Amino acid sequence: MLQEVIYSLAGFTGDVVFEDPAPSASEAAGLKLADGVPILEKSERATITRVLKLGSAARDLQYLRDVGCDSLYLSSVFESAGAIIEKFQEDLLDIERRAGLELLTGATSLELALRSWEAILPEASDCMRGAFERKLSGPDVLHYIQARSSRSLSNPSILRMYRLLINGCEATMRVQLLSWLLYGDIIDPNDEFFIEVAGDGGKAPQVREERLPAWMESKNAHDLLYAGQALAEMRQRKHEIKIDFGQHVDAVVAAGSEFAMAIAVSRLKNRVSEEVGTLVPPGSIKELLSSIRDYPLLGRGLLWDLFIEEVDKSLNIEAGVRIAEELGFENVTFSSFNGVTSPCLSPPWPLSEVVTSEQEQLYADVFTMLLSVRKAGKHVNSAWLAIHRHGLLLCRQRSGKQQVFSLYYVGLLFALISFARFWPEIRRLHDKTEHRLQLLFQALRARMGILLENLMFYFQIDVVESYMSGLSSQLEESSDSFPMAVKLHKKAIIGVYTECLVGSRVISSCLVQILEQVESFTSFVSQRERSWKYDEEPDLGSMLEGLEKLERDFMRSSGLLFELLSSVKSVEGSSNLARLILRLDWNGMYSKLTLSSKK
Amino acid sequence: MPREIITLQVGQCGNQIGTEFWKQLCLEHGIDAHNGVLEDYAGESVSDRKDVFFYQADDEHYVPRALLIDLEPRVINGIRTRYKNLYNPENIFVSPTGGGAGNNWASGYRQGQDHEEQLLDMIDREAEGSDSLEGFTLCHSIAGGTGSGLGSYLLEMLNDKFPRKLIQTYSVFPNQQDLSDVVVEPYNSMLTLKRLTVNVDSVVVLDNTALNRIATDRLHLENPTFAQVNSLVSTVMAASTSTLRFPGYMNNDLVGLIASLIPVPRCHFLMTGYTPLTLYEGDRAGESQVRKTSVLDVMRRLLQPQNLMVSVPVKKGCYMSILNVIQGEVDPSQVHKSLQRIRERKLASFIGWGPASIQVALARRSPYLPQSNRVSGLMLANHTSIYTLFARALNQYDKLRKRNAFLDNYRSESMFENGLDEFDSSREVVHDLMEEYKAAEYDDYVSRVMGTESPNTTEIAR
Repeated sequence: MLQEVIYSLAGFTGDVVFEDPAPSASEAAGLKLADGVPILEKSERATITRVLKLGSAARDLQYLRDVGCDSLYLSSVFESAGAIIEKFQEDLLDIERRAGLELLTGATSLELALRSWEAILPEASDCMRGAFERKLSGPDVLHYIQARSSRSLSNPSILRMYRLLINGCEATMRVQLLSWLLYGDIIDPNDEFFIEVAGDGGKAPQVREERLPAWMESKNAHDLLYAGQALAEMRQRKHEIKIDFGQHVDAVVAAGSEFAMAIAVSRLKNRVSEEVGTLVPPGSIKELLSSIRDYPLLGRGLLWDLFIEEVDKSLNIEAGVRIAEELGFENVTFSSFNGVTSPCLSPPWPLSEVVTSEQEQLYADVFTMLLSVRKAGKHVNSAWLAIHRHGLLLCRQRSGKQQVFSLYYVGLLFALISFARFWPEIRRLHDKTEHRLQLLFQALRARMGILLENLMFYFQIDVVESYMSGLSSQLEESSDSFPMAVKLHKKAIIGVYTECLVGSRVISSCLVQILEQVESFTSFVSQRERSWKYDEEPDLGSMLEGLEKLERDFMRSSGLLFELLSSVKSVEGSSNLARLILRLDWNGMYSKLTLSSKK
Repeated sequence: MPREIITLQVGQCGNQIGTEFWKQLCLEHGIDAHNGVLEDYAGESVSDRKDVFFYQADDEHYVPRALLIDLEPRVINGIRTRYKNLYNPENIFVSPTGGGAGNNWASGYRQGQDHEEQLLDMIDREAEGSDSLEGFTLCHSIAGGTGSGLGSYLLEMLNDKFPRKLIQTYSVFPNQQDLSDVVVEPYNSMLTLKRLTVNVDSVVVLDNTALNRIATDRLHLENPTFAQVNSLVSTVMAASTSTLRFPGYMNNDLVGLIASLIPVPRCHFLMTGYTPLTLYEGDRAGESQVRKTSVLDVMRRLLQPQNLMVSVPVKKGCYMSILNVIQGEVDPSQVHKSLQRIRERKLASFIGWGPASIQVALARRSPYLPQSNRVSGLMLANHTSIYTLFARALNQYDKLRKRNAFLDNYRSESMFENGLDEFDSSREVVHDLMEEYKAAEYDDYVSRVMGTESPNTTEIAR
């Protein structure tokens, strides 16, 4: 009888102990003792039923191991569970031997012999069945097992069992991670790993957020993606990599918590980044950053002037791009799309790790904004020349008029001729509308000019120059640490982006409105200039009306901008904004303006 | 594609200060002033823009974009001897008669008319040799005959022939404290001031009274020579063009530089200040009177009347605009701190009828020129009190004109054969200019000059 039970526990059922049900995908195995076995007492029957539960669990584990599944992670756990079953089988063989020698008699002694498996096998079976039925895959399997293990901290044997299962799971992850880092490829037939390497499609490897294990932050996954990509680049360049991957990967795989994982990944990333840094030619980071600072950010020299001039002349943005190319900036080119010009930095690897494509976008946004402010400033300066010249012409005509009147007294005929000649001018001089228009042009030009001048000073000197020279000196202090350079640059460009207010939708739209008003103003001036040049008689009344409306709008917009900047300054305590506000409101004009608008 | 600027130096004074200016520019760009050859130490790595003021001849020598014009040969011959191969010989004009203008504005003006073709040819040739000409700079004195008369004629001509180009002058105003040898100085000044008012975009006023005061009081020179005073002028001229020649991020063109300074067309007379001052002896900078400089110190000194190169009471009136060109290694935060301090102490008062503040341009320095100070600064300012300078000139003019004294020489010129209306017209223009500057001191300036209430613009002033 005892032999029958031991055989059934080993998986060989018969008439006394039979399988009901047989293990399947939807149901766990069940070993049952046949009814009406005459030699058993009630208590013995109960004991054997308990022992058979262990057999059921072992049978189920064996079934899952034999059937296997699509998930590489779960399969590896099943394999680890196989080791538990093998140990169980060994114990059974020993029990069978002892039973043959009659050292083991009765159901109770059998139960005692199998006592150590009482907790392990059902727990293992339940855990495996749960993972199987939940159709878990990828690192989620690991997470599931870890979660279960944390509920059994009081039982060391169960903990040991779980450790075995976890090891199996971790081994898979370790293999995949090592494969990614060492070969840039992943054995991942069932798409479980959180980094996806496309086949021949030419698609760059990417992080699949939906496959991220619960204990891994997206940032860590991206760091691991970066590490693999950087290592692949280094291998391609036949660079001898001196990194102990095993140690780092072990730390990552066995992290077990978000915090430990973040530390392990960050260490790995920094180590890879340091290795990358050995490939960076000395001084090239500074050269790249100073090129960016000088050209797309600050438009050193004549870049922006020529750029704007060419675009204005040909109404073609490509002309500006061509100019930039002719000026031959080594690290910076420009492109245009849908009328928006952007610098194309795209530095070669490994500098591309300092200026990434996301940061390139930030630079492009800042550049677009700076260029449009500079363009508006340039147009206002051109308008200044036209208005100024017309003002001087009026002075000349006035003094000419006086001469005409004097000559009138000298010779009537000459005066009549002159008077007739100058009559339209004299009439114009006496036209109050003309005078008022001229004053309005002057006043509006001065206001626009000073606002744009101060904005440019703020953007270029207060923000860009400060951040970039700060970055430059920090880079010097960081003594060629590549990971530090990457970090410092990231911080600097985010600072520039934030302080240039590009990210603030309200301020940006207010600024855009002001720039549009400046363009309207310059077109008013051009219109007026044409009439001065060709001696046309435009409708001064409607022009004055239009200009007065523009002035009101500009005062409103610039007052609003001042208010917005003041509120940002007081909320964020930006010292750079404080400088801008001090310069703008030196003689209290803007304060008065906002005060009067509130009234 | 540089923004070229052509310099016209007219008359004795104009040529002298012009020559000092070119000497300074040669030093700053590493060019040998005697032959225009780039010095061995001057490499290509310095990102300066020599081509704004120079062009390269076929033999690659640098040639100033300068026209040297005089009606008598003495000064120009001296320049020819000293700087034999620097200037383009075709750009030198000396009147064939060589008699000068005899301190007579009308003679200078008439001789301009007489030689118009030749002068225009020279200017045209130089303008056509530029890719993207930005404008003209004229150096002259307003008191003599050639600088004032011929200078005035040239200003009218430039205005007429190049309507879209900027015209800036560095105009030396006579010393009004000492008795002048030239009794007709007030006439010449008045007639020139009219042209400076109606034909010029920006006038940098260099007041001989102030220049001499600075030389004696600040530089402790008992009897300053012309060369020493001219050296002060060249320092100012060089500093005011430094952002054009050593481009930074802003103020890279002349129009950008002066547009912010001149809110009203007629009020375009700028005063200057420079600190710390050093005199150049040969190619070396002399010892500075200021031992330690900081941005605040420089900006504060620039506002002190004793450092201004114009003798006017700046304590009265107000600034329409200020542009400080700060040279040297400067941290932008220092600029801000200095501005804050100046504002707290109310060291500069501004107009109330429009936005106004101290604008700052940070300029690089020449790497070839040893500097005795860490920071130096130039102030270009538009201040209403400059009208007092015109008032003095007007007062002196009225004294002479009342007696119709010394007018015969003028009457003998064709321009004044039929009367002296031009004198009256000039006086009127200068008087109006004074009135406009005075009006600009008031918050209701706009309505004052309009003669009517202008609701939109006065609203802000209130």
